[in-house]
Amino acid sequence: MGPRMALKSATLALTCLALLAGCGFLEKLTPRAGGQLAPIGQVSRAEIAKSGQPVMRLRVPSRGIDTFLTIRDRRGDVVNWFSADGMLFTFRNDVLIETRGLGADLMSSAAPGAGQIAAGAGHRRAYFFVDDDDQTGRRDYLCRITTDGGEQLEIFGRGHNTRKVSETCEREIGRITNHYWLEGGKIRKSREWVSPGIGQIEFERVID
Amino acid sequence: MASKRRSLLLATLGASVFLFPAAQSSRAEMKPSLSFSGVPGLIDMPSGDTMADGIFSISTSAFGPVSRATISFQITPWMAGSFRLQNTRKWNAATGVDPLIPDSVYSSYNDRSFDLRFRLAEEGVWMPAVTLGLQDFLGTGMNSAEYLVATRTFGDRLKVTGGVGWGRLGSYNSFGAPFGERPPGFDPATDTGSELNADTWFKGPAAAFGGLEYRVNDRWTVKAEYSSDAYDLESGEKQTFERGSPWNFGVEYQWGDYARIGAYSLYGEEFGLSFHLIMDPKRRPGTIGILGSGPVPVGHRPSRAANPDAWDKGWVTQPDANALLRKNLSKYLEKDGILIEDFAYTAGTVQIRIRNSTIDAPSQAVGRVARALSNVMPASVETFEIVPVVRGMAASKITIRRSDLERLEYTPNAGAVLRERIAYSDAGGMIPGSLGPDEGLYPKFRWRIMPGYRVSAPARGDIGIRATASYDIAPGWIVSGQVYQRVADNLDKVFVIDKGGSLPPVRSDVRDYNREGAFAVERATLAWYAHPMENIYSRVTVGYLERMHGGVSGEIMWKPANSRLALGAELNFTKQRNVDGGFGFGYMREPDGGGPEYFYEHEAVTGHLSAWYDFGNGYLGQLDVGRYLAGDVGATLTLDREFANGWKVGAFASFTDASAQEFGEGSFDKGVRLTIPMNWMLGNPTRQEISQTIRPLQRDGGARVDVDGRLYDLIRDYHSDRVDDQWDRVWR
Repeated sequence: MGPRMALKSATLALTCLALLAGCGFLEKLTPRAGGQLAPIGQVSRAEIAKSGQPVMRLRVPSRGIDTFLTIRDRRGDVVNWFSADGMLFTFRNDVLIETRGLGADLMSSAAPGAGQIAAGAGHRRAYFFVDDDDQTGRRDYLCRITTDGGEQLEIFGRGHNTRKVSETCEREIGRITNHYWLEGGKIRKSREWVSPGIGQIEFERVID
Repeated sequence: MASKRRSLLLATLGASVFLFPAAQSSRAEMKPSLSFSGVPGLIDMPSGDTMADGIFSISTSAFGPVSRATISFQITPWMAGSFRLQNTRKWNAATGVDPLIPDSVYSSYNDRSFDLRFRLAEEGVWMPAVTLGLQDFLGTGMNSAEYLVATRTFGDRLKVTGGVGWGRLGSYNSFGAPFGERPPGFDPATDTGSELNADTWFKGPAAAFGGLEYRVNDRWTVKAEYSSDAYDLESGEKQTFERGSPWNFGVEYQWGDYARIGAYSLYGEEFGLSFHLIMDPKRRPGTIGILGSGPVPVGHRPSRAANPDAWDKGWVTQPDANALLRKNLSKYLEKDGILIEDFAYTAGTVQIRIRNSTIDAPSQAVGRVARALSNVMPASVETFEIVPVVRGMAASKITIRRSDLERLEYTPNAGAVLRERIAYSDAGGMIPGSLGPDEGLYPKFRWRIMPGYRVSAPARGDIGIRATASYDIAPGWIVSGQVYQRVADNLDKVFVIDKGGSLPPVRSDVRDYNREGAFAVERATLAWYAHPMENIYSRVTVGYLERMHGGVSGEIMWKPANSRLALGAELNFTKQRNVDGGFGFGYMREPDGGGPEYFYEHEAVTGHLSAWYDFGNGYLGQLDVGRYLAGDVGATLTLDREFANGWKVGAFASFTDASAQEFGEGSFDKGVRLTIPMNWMLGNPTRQEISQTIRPLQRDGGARVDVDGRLYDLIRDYHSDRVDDQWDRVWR
């Protein structure tokens, strides 16, 4: 029996190769260093929607990053979102579990899913992040969810009725708080902790 | 750019404040500052503070005729070392030529000193920080001092320091000699220095010193101190300045995260300036962790049940499979600067031999290759063998199971979990059927032109242009060379002072090499690297090995991929090169004691047996035993502290059968060496680094051929003891 599956020269989908529909489009929307494009906040929803791709807005205050993300691939409950310049953000059940390309990245973590956050139960969290001297830092937390109340969000010209919840995570010598804005059972916006070097970063789901 | 950098700084500050809202102690706000001697201190006096572990600092300071340049390193949390050059101008203004050194044309006096500081107590709720210091503990003793000093922080603004000093620091307003008379120290007429002057420690007059440091705000600090250094020689006999008062005052400005500058009034009459660069090897300026784009996710295979065709092994027989797969892999690897040296497979195993030219962390290179393989290789391939190749040598083999990659990619603590499932081993043989290196790797010509410098004496030398080129003929065979062209110099200010010693001038004529070789072929060699047997690596280098010696150098090293220990042997046959920078050997020279010029030639058979050991936690040791260039026989001990990102600070000393009199000033060869990786400075992945060896004095004893590309550092980069330092970056 001859080879049933013949190998072919594959067209590859690397960081921003044309094969990924989202990518060329992301580059068009993302202001480049020294470029002429309008700041990201001034891009219109219509322009963003043109691609027909899910789009998130990412803000990393500590590094002055404000950019768009789109989906690179899905694998079961894990979804990888990426930026035009090759940063990668991994979500499991809509909660951030890993980052790549921020420097002090969140290398891996044990995190609750959106369902657990919406349900409001307590849970444990573990963060493994890039710390001083390129070593892995680890922090373990006990977390509880509190509801802060309703909040009307506006994301690129569209209003969203959300319920804001806070996930307060404590350990002996410190505390972090993640914030989620839930629309129905879905996370519309979140502010999630990455590492001591990066602090919190913010995601807004612009187009589902 | 500037605003971006500022925002990074703000971010780092913001993040740390955010992290430790409760734990932030007020004391952490007042970091230790440095003195004129480049150690934690006030102005001219030391303090009881200790720098954080690993801190490396470079200090320069000057007041009146006295200037100092110091490098300091916090070797362990409780021990710090410093190396200092002190220059005192107007040295002979009052006394004329030094009678002890008849030919002396000193207009200034240079002194080199080593310090050690030991932390005796950390600052606690009641306890002050206490430090014991030994200043200039093996030099000429001219700057020798011992001190015990305590510093206590009050609130987050004020530090109070008080201490007792002996030697130099016991010379003003002494309260007596509690531990007896100080024996006479260094005698320039008979001594060669560098003897541990332990018999003088804490002997002789002792005096108290102290002062205050007050932090006005985040940027500005003011200091005041009472100095117990009388500057007897400088302000007395030599009259280089007038010491009118023991009181010193100053103001310091913290300039960014790393630099500190200060202006002072010293000893009533003099104005002083200081500049300190304080670096933390563990923290990159501006960013924690390294930037650079993220990886591609691990490719997942379809389940065997859902797609049995994908798991068929028939592809192995497809004639063009190797070329196709390799081309696909290259597309993933080229953006990370990873080149394929060889590639072969069976239905279940793939072996890829790679050259990593860009990524600083070997583990990250391995991870990127593993991800590429997971996306490219047909489903039946379960075992990934990744073999990093260095100068043609297969340095190790890292074996990873593909199913582990697929399963663990999003697992908490994925780095540590994966590490338990991989193996390091000798590279061994290649799987048959490979096609050899990527096109364009051999032969390959590379070159680089950089500004360069040569040092002939402290702050004396020349600057110029250095061009380096290499030609990779075939795997393991490299022709390379380096030339230097002088552009500007202040060599006319170099005064040669007889430092004694009677060994052949295998190193001490370096000034003549620098003066005569405005253009110099610094290196021109053919090197052959091989990995002939399991765990054995070899090197043969022929040609102009270094600026001063040429010949043949051979080396063989044993180092298993997962061993902390390495053993090596080196043998060199060399002749000393002409000072003119050309291709000749030997040169006309004037005897050290004067007399007619003669043609100097020197041949040497040198060799060493070496052992290297990685003690863990970044501490490395090296012992070399053998014969040195001047024919002396002995051993060199080197200790390094290596940080995961590649920063390395070390010290070495050679003890040979050359007597102190034969060796000359300094008594034995010693120095410090420093490697700073460019990835630390730039925050981006790059494998370039800056290395510098600093000796207080270059003499002829304990000298080894400075051949390029010794095996240990090349090979160890890809062995477990080094890769594991940053293992978790395999997932980056």
